[in-house]
Amino acid sequence: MIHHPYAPFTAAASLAALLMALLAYALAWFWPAGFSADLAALLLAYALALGVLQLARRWPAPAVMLVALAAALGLGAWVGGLVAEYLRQHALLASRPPGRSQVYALLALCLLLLPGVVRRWQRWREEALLAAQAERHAAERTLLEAQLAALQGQIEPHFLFNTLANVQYLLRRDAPLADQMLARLLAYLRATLPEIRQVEVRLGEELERVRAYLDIMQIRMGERLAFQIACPPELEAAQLPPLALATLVENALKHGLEGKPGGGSVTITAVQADAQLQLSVADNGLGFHETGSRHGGVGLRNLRQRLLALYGAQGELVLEARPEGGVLATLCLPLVHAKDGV
Amino acid sequence: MKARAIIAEDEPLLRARLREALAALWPDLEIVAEAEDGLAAVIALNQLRPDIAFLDIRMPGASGMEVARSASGLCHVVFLTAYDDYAIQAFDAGAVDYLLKPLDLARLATAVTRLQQRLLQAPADLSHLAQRLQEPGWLRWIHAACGLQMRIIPVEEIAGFVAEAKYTRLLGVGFDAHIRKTIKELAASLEPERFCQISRGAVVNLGRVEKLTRDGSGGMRLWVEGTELVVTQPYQHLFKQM
Repeated sequence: MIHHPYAPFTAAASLAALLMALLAYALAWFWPAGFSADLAALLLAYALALGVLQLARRWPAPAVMLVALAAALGLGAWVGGLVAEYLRQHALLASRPPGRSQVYALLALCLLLLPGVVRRWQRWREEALLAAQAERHAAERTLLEAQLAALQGQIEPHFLFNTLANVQYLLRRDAPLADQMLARLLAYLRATLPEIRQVEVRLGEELERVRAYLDIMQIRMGERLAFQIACPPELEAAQLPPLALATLVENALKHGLEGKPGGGSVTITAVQADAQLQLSVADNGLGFHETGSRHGGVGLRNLRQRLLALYGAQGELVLEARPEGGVLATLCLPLVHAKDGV
Repeated sequence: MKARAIIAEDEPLLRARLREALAALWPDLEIVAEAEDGLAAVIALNQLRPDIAFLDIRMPGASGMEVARSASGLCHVVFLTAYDDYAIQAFDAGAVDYLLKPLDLARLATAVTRLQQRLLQAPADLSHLAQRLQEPGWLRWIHAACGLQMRIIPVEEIAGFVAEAKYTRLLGVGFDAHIRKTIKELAASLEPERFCQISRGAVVNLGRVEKLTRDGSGGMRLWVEGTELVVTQPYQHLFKQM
């Protein structure tokens, strides 16, 4: 059930108070005593105040609540005071100095409304706390889920087995190349496994891993793959989420180049744009099929989630279809340099 | 009579590996062609009419499954793959064998024996193979014009589509983007669990609907990313339970 901001001030309470106010009013005529006039005035004031608060329920915001509370107290006290004065003068023929009844009504009304207001205020605070907590938990969970998915999807069995199949053949035909390929595979695996557990890695490390991957793919695809990497040395210490760049590069190969007869090239560029690190991966492959399979692009979707969880509006991944064919993926992050020794 | 075979595999080293292993295990087998992509494999199959085709599943051009379909009833098929993801379907469909990479010579010897026995029979019908493996082609990515750029946007990030004079505009992507596809085309090609047409001029992402309101005279409105959209009469039944 949803807690309504004005739960203590219900229409039923307001009607009941109004009814009792009428009874007290009648009582004041038949039993002329000072207290019955005050009772009638107070109940009427209470009913009016509840009515005002009830009306304010339509706009559930703290500011409206405060204005409504002031209006309820003012209107209740004023009308209640008038009724008390009127009854004292006409039913009881006794009189207090004029104006005093309004003050009494206001004081009594404050006391009557106080518990409801306090309860309302407490509930508001609880709700705000819970909402903040829920939001924080949701963000944490999204990040964890995305990291887990990155971990699960990263070392693709196809990549691993095909690479080993190549090594198997090379061992007898071209042992030095087999040795080189195994070394690159080890570099790739070593860079991949610890990386995933960190929240951020250096661009230099990420590029090392990407280079190992591309070297392997170049041996496997032969003439069909060409690649370039351009990164100014001062950006190598820049931080980025693990596997962010690798996801884009592996994606360019998997969806763009591996499936293209004749192959193609991939270009990786890192630049600084104001206070942002801008990484781009361009390929001249097949591009994205609008109706890809359900599993296509899981890595990219996952990366978008991680960016959102880590940087909010400051991180962005834009995918563009290049006019000459292929895809340009651009990743923008706040530029933060890792401290030495990290 | 010597048996004739083709090998279709996009990685040159793996092609060589299979060729050499076969030469050792089955010297009488003649490799009449090697293809490095699916299309070349289909052409080789049609021109050379081999008895056996060794087909890698993941290849550029056309997948091994698609090639097998076009080879249906013409030759015996052995699939090659690095990862055991299609094995059961391939066997169900009548492939002679299914080899995992890296190749295991003992396992390849079994496949050779099996092939030698099967050569006496007619090749299996594989015509329904690739069809069965195809998934329904719901739209996953939208290519949208954004100024001079052509952006690629995952559909789940789009809150809705609204028809405008000439184009269809995207809602909730954070920038101004439009596409040429009509609402009718979109409604037919977007995943129905996620997207829903609400009028002749609008499709919304159900996960991004903020509010649904009704008025006394039977009107129904949706709020998506701060935009108010009318749900017209023919589509209102979709929201009756909401």
